[in-house]
Amino acid sequence: MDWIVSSPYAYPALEAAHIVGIALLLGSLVVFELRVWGAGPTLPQDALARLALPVTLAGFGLAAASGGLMFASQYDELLANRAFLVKMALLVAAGLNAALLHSRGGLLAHDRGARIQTALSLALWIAVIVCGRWIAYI
Amino acid sequence: MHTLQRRHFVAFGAATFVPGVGLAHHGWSSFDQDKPIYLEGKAESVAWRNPHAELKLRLTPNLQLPADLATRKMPAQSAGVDAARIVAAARLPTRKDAVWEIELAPLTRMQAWQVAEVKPGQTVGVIGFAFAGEKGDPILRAEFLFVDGKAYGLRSAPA
Repeated sequence: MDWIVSSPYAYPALEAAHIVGIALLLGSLVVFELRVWGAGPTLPQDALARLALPVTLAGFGLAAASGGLMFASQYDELLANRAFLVKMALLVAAGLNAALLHSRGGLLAHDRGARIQTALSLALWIAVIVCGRWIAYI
Repeated sequence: MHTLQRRHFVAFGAATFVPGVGLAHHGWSSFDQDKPIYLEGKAESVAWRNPHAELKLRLTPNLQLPADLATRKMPAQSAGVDAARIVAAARLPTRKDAVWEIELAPLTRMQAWQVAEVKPGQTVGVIGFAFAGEKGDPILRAEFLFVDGKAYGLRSAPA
């Protein structure tokens, strides 16, 4: 993984890919969650979910791949960084929350439970982003 | 990237491991930019890498401020850095650590200044900033770097 940190351009390129991944993930997620919360009632929720959530997954995949490479290039210092550890814990929480929502048939649900879970999801992802940025500041 | 003090002895990724360099990435805002500090010594270990190059500096014993430091001319750079104020205000640290971690710039900026990779054992001077009150680890974010009689501004690219 030496090339990641020894090349002048690899690391900034991975950072850019990470941001694109975050944008795809959060942007598509917010659109879906707005629908769950009652916005755009004329849009069929299942069709919207089929459009938006693959984008969310693709964004996550891009962020995870770029993040994984950056992690591999300096895992030792990241494992010693509290913001990174909190971020990983929040990622696990966001993943469990999403799995729970899906196991409850959440893609079509817009009951109180689904609204709470999607709000929690948004809060978790924003917290993940904040912790990710904070890695550089502690 | 900025820091994380980490020591590690895991074989995985051993090629990236530079013994003794504590790695850390901090934004400028983490540092007390009102109190420029001058350090000089020999590079003990160097990590010429992204997100920024860094080195461990063993200070010259009984280090004194160079007599000409306050009037040294710094090279022009693209960011509006008040170089005259910074070099005039630079002081030795009050804490007495023998070894400091110096955070330099990303590789693209080191390249833009055409700074040759610092080698262990090389003499290096630096003006930079520590954490507020010189608390925490002895880490200096470099504003100006002095190698081989040349000065480099690390805040931004050369103008």
